[in-house]
Amino acid sequence: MSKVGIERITSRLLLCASLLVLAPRVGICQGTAPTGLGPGGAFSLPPFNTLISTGVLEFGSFDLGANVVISMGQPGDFRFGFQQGSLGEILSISCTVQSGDVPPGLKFTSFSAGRFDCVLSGIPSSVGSYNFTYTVTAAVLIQSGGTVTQVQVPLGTFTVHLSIVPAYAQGLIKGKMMPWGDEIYDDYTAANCPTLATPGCHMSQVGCLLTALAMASAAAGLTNQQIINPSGEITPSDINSIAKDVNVQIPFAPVFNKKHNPSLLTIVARLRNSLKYNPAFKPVQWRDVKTSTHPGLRLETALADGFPVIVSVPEILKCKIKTPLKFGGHFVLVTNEQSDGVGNKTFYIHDPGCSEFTTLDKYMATTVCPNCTFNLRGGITDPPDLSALSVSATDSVEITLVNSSAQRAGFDPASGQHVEEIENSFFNHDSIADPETGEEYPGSNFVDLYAQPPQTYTLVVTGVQAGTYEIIMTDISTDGSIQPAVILSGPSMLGGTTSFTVTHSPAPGAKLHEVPTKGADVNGDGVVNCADLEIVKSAFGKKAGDPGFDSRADINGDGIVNILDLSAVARALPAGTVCN
Amino acid sequence: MKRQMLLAVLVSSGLIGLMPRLARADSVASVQPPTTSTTIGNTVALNVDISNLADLFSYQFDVDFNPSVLSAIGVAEGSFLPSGGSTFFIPGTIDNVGGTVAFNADTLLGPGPGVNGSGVLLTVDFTTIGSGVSSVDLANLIFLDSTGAPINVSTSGGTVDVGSAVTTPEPATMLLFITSLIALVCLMRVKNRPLLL
Repeated sequence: MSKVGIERITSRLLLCASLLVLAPRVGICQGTAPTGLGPGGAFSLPPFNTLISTGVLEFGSFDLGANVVISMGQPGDFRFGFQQGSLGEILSISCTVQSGDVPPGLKFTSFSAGRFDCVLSGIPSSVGSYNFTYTVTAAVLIQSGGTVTQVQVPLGTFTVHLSIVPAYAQGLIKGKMMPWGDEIYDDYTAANCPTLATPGCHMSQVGCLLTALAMASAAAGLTNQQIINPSGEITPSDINSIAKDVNVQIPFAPVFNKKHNPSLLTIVARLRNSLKYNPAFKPVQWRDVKTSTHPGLRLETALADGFPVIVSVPEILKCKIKTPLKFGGHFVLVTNEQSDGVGNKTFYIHDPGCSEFTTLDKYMATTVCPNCTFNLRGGITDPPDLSALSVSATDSVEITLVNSSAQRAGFDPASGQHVEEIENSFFNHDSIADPETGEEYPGSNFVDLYAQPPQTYTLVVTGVQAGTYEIIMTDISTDGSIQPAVILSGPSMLGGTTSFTVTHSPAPGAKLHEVPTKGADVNGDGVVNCADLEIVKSAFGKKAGDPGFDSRADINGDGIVNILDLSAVARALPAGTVCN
Repeated sequence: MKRQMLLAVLVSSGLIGLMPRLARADSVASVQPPTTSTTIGNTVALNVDISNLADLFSYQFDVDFNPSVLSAIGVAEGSFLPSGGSTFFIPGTIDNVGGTVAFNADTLLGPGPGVNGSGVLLTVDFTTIGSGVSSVDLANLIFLDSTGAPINVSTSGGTVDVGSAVTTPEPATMLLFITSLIALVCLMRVKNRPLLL
């Protein structure tokens, strides 16, 4: 062995000896014996196992190599590192991502100033699971004779499993009801309760409030810079202070501080400041929907400012997810309110505690607002997804919506039954009873699809009696805004069918419109020109069965030739077309 | 269960029924002038104006009137839609029995865009044929933008007040009454004469 080689081994052993000071805490130098030095050497170390926050946000300690869970949008400075003992010869370390992806919004850097850290910092911006492997090398000095040389010593390769979860998920808790009625919370980590639909997960005691606040803040466009709480430390009394804003006291168990996820408290801090930074954000009480007597807390006033409003309701409403309310009180978001000017109001409500509504009756029962209707959504989304496609029809026809996967919602002609194959679809066909008199009168068929992605549906209309039909289609955007309705009408006959293509576009500002089921080339000569317009004109105003009705001109197949057909042809004409 | 379903139906139906009204925009299709006073035998031209509209590409509506007071004689395209390019205008079908000019329609040609703002959509000419008041209302409106999507438009109708063609001064009326009375007395006297066979 050369002299240099011996000195390298000596230096390496010194390095290891210095690091042994930290061994009980960070586990360095517990690996295999060194077999070589310098870049490419096989010296291996177990993962550093301490995560140290720098104090901006205290996340507690996590084990490297295990799952690390942080909330999206929360600024963080996660350090994977160690402190050097007094005998250390490390000049600096270099942390390099070897494979995998660092989550968007975060960067992975090295820190060498008194301590040595690999630093994952920034604000995560995308929910997801990320794995990346990084290597750490240390710059050390090696003395060879009278020459001191700096060499890079590989310290190891490590893998980080990082989960970026929605901040709202921190409001969830995993627990189980015991036979004697107490609920035992056995898991407070958001990693185990990423969504409300995860089995066993439900809102924690203040989850609905936290989530409602978080969603409201997101909907209000508050950025993390605006809503972060610099002081950090939040206590249950702070939460109760927020609760007081909405006139509900939330009792906390004495062990609250110990058991709760610190990240959850951080959310509260952010939200509490959101109230301060955005004075137009006004929590109000549910009763204001009924009375509107408190000038400072009027629901309409707050909604008019364009902000969702948190209201308390006496009980959680019927959900497919059972959410016990041991302590009473529940919070939902009122995201929008619209009035037709003659006393009828529609409130758009999002309940974070429900993943899916099955009935609406309890909401009706809990309000005394006689002219109000309630458009309900549930679950945890970011921001609240209020989108829906609603189709209603007169009793003369049955309607079925079919998605691109051939799933149906509505009437199944083969079985004569109603089907709800499309997720989050709701169908009904019944008579309507007057709540006062109990008298029943014919109702409408309707199919509502909630929180659907943009896609095209086929609307199948099946006649069940002779006469006429009218179908109203309305798209509600993700922000709760109602797109202009599309109305279809035509003659109906027993057993007759027709179909339309409906494009659901939930983006705010989009417009639902029925796509013509035929092309604009009315006469089929391969070109759209004035001759096609003339055919439509000749049959204009004619209904199926009328003398002069020309089915070729009925572009959308609704049984009547009108402006919908004329416009479809007109739009398909080349620019500059003039028809005399 | 049935009650739940009924309530659900009620809620949803109410919501859906409410939507077209809730979505009403500020655009108004109105009959201009809103009030007209004239006499029998005259011609009245009423415009249908539109205000505050964006991206209008096509429209269709009916004009309803009282056929005992008014008789429609013609429909002409207004200047608003042609301001956006070449158009295809279909004057409505006149029904002077039912009192309607149905399926008035107009559309731009080509890919668009539509026209914005306010202006005259069309003009309907009427002849006044009877005394009385006729409302002139718009119905069955369909307004479309350049994507084929509907535009919500509210309406404002008009009225035409048609008076008698000749008004008789009061003294002449009294004279006519007295003359008629004298004539009636004379007629009664004639009737009481023996018949001459």
